[in-house]
Order: sequence, then C-alpha cells, then structure tokens
Amino acid sequence: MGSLYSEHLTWLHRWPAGAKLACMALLGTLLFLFNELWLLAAAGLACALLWCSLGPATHKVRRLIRSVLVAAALVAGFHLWLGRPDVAAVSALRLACASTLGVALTVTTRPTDLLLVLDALLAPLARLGLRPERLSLQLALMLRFTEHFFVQWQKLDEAHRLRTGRPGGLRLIAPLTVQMLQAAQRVADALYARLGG
Amino acid sequence: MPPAADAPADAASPWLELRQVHLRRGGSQVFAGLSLHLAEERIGLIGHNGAGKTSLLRLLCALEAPQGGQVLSQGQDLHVLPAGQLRAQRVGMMFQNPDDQIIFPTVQEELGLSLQPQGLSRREALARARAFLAERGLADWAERAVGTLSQGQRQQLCWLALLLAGPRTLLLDEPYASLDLPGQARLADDITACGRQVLVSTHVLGPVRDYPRVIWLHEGRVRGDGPGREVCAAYEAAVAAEVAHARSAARPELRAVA
Repeated sequence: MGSLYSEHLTWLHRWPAGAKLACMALLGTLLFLFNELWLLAAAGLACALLWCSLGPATHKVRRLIRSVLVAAALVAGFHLWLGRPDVAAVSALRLACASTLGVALTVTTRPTDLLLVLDALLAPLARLGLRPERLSLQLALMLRFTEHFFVQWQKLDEAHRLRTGRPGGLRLIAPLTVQMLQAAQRVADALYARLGG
Repeated sequence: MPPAADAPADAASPWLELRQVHLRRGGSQVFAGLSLHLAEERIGLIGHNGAGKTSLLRLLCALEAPQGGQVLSQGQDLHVLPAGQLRAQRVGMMFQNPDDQIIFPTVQEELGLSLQPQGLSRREALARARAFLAERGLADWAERAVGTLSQGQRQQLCWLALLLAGPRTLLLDEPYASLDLPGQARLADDITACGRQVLVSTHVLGPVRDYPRVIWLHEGRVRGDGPGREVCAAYEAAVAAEVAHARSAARPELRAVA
C-alpha cells in the first residue's frame, strides 16, 4: 500500500496530473525519435536540472534512480565493449532521461490524481458497455497485491530463518502461493460484502 | 410462500431472519435447522471458536449460501436479491482483519470505494469521503497513506467505510480482537452512537454485556438467548465449569508423568 508520492511540495506538484502525464508521454516519445547525441545530451542536462529543482521530494526515490543509473552504465559498458561508443551514450542517456521523467511524475503526483486522469481517458469505454471504475479497481488491486506479495515473502523468509537458521529461498513458493490464494479469497469476500456482490 | 426478490420490503418483518437454515461446510454440519429473528438494534453474538459465529455473519451478508432454509432481510430472501446497491444497502460487514478489506492506498480512496455501489463518480465519491471525514474532525486523514495508520486506526477506517456505505445492518466480526483497551472503548462508543442495527460477534464480553440481546452459539445451536447480562453470565459460568473440569481431568495425568 506504499506510494512514492512525496508530501514535500515542489513547483511540479502544482501542475495538473493530466498535463504532467501528457508532457511525459510527449517528451518520452521524442527521446526515442531523435538519435542526435547533442540533443540527447541537452535532454540529459535538462533532466538533471529537473531532478535538482525537485529538491528533497526526490529523497524516497534516490535508491531507485541510482539503480537506474547503474543499469544505464551497464548498458553503456556493453555497447562500448562492442565498439559502439555513440550507441552507448545514446542508450544510456535515453534510459536515464526517461526514468527521470517517470520519477518526476511519480513523486509529484498523487496516485488518486493519476487514477482520475485514467478514469477520464477510459470514460468513452463506458459507451461500449465496459465499466471504467472496475478497471481502476483492478489496477488498485494489482498494485496492492504486488506489495502484499513481497511483504508475505519477507515474513515467510523471516520465519524460515528463525526456525532453521537458513533463508527459505525457493522452498517458500508453495506456502507463499497458498497464502496468496487465501488472501485473494478474503479480499474477494470483503469486496463482495462492500459492493453488494 | 416466500416473497419474490422484487417484492417490496415488508416493514413489519424483522430486519433479518433465518428460517430453518442448514449449512454444511466440507464434512461438517455448521447449522442444522437454525431459526432466528434478529430485530433488536444491538445484538451480541458469543460462543467458543468454531461455534458458528462467523458462519452466521457470512450467511447474513450473503457471502455464504445455505443448503437449506432461507436468510431473509425484511421478508425478502437475501440470496435472491439482485447484487449491487440494493444488497449493499441492506447489510454490510466489517471483517476481523482490517488488512483483508482495505484495498486503496489512501484513506479517502478507501472510503470512496464504499460509495461505488451508489453509482457515484470517483471525483464525487472522493469529495463525499472528504466531507464525511471533516464532519468527524478527521479532515487531515483524507490524504494519509493507509500504511502509516496504526492497527487501531486501520480498524477505525474500516468502521468509517462501513458507516459511509450506510447499510441498514452492520455486522462486525470480532472487532475487538486486535484493539488495545482505549481502542476497544472508542469502538464501543462508536457503536453506541451509531443509529443502525449492529450485530457484534465477540470474545470480549464487556461491550455486549449491556446489549438488550445476546445470542450464545454452541456447536451451531443457540444455547442462550436473552438480555446481555444474563447470557454473558451464563456463558462465563459454563466456561468456568469447563475449565475446572478440564483441569481436574488433567491432574491425574500430570501426577502419572511426575
């Protein structure tokens, strides 16, 4: 149930979620349309400035962006090894810029506001008989279960360590599956009772 | 002749009624012909683990369908009522573990889900949820992440979500089980102040002792049914006798081991 949204307000918090999402989509697409190194270097510089302008709001995601930069460095290293320094620079810059844009959106936009944009975009589907609110409920359930999965895994692993002195590893898959199925049944029961079936 | 699902609710009928309900789960018979009229504003449900308290609540909110008999809400079969708003407005349930029912990451979104059966848009639902919190002096809860709430606060959130959904009858399954003493007192006060019918299944007898009616279930049958004070006292006496019997039965074995 965690969120990367930062309560530390920045200038980007004041932008409407829809505008931010549209900008990210547009800039993200442009990053992949151009191959000129100077353009991507300028984008990299702009992203670095964007990151710095967000100040302490980026605190929660520093580890995340660090792993993205490590991944970008590995990709660059692979291309350098193949003797393509131009491709190395372009790929690394694209990955780093796209991730920075995504992170900027995530830390400055509440999940609720993003879901509202999603609802507005999906609203025309209601004419086809689909129910947009059910789609966003499914999205919320997916996010919730992803986190629940890791929390349960960690709990089982801790119990296994305590009782055997060794990490559980793949032995935990069966009990984890059983627990996840039971949790899914309980959540389904709660939704049934709350939404009237 | 049972009334049809689309027949108007009968105001003279008890809010909830079980007629000759048979429920079998796996190889065991949970209820064999259980009949109950549940008309009082506050009803406590007590008994040992496995006595059928949770099964009864699950029947009353249509999560469980009986193999025989009927579960009626104002004369209408709850299991034949169309799913959605109509059923959600009759009966709502708060589960024992808040984490099994909280879906959304923030308080206002979680409360907003309760308004979904009424067909409100997300924006309207969030606005109503915020207003609902503000009325209770909890305006600052709206944006709070559910993960940052304590166990007692998560339970309170589930209670608020149930109130906001506004069903006629609220079913609470072991609501006191994971609350500290101040939390128990607050929930008991909230229940007292709530203007709806409330059924509480509990092992904590204090809050239901003053209820006009407490039902003591034992192995799927009603063993006591009456004013809270009398039924709770009878249950406590029976438990004391059981414990004394078990201890005296265990003593010869202990002597033999020694």
